[in-house]
Amino acid sequence: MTRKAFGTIGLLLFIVVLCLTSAFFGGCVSSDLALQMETSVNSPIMKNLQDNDEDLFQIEDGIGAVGEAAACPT
Amino acid sequence: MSQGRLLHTLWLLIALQIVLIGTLSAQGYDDAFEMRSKLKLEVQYADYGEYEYPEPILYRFGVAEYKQLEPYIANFPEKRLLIKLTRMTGDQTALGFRYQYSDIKEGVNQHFVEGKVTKQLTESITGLFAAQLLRDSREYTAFQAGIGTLWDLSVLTSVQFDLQYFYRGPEADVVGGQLSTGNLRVKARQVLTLSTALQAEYSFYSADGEAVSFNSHSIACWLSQYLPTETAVHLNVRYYTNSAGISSAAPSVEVAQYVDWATVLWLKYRHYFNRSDNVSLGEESIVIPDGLRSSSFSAQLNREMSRELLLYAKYRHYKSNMGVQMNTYMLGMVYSF
Repeated sequence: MTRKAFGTIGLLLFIVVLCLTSAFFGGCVSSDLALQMETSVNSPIMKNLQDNDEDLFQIEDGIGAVGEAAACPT
Repeated sequence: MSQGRLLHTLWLLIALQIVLIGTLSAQGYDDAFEMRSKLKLEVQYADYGEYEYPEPILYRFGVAEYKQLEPYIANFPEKRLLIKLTRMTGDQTALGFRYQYSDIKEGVNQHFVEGKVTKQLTESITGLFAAQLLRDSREYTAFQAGIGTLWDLSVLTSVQFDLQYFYRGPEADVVGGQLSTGNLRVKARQVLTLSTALQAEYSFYSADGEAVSFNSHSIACWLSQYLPTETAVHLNVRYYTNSAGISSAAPSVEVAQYVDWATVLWLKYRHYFNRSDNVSLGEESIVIPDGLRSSSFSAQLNREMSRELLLYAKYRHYKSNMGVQMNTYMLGMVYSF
């Protein structure tokens, strides 16, 4: 895949996210619904993925030194 | 049973017997605002050393000596220790200190120190600033600083932005000499339904140094579904490309399950494959090989022992088509006070 194609896909994906954002941003969420979301779609296991842990064990493919910007996983 | 295998089994049993906890926060915008202070300890052991490649092979063709590069994939650290202390200094500000020791490979280790300030700027916006210092036993030092912000637009939408700068001097010749890098990351999460969420991340990375200069882009997307069985299923795919001649893709699936209110089990499988011009990204003897395919499986168990104490353990198995495999074990705890 060329870099141009990759850039296009990235742009399209961001447009999708922005559209979704704007669609929801205009509305209000009741406190009951917000509470319900905390036990479903916004529960910790839906938000805190393993890769997100900022500390150890981020060794995947590529150079894996944690917290080192020079070590960008490939 | 060999001594090594016995040791691995022992580690696994310890990990499984220590029943572990809830969830750790992520991305640095962590749990700092919940309690006054938090102390985090982690230790990690990997048996990668048992599968280490032999010394580079030297060939002679006429008058020229050819040194075959080690087909290392990376410097997988074998042993790590982390100590992190986070303390609230007011209603809106938290200070964090982290020390980390990494045993990279035989005769090589690193000390890593970080200071971080996290501040609740408004009800929905959190900002952070972090500075880090890395000292390598190969006689070089590196510096890094970063800023970031997390904006919770609503309970449905959040956006995150991070920027980092890294520098090391010419004394780091063993890993490629002087290097400065910058990286930018943008991440957004959108709730689609009461049980479905979409997350996307784009990161740009630019490296400019004596041995290597390149730009890279990566994009990742997660589709997350919450099930009535108190289960979260995450489908993820990541694509990466850089101007040095590497591109890769990595699909993964991750499942998290509430065993009870205080216990969570995480399972993850990830596959990785790439195309590469067999480039080195600085360290001369290490190349990113073409056609690398790898798989990893991990299991993590978290257990909230009390309101103050969280314990967790993780096991990971990694295997690649380059003949490398390893088991990694981690134990950790967070104490709040």
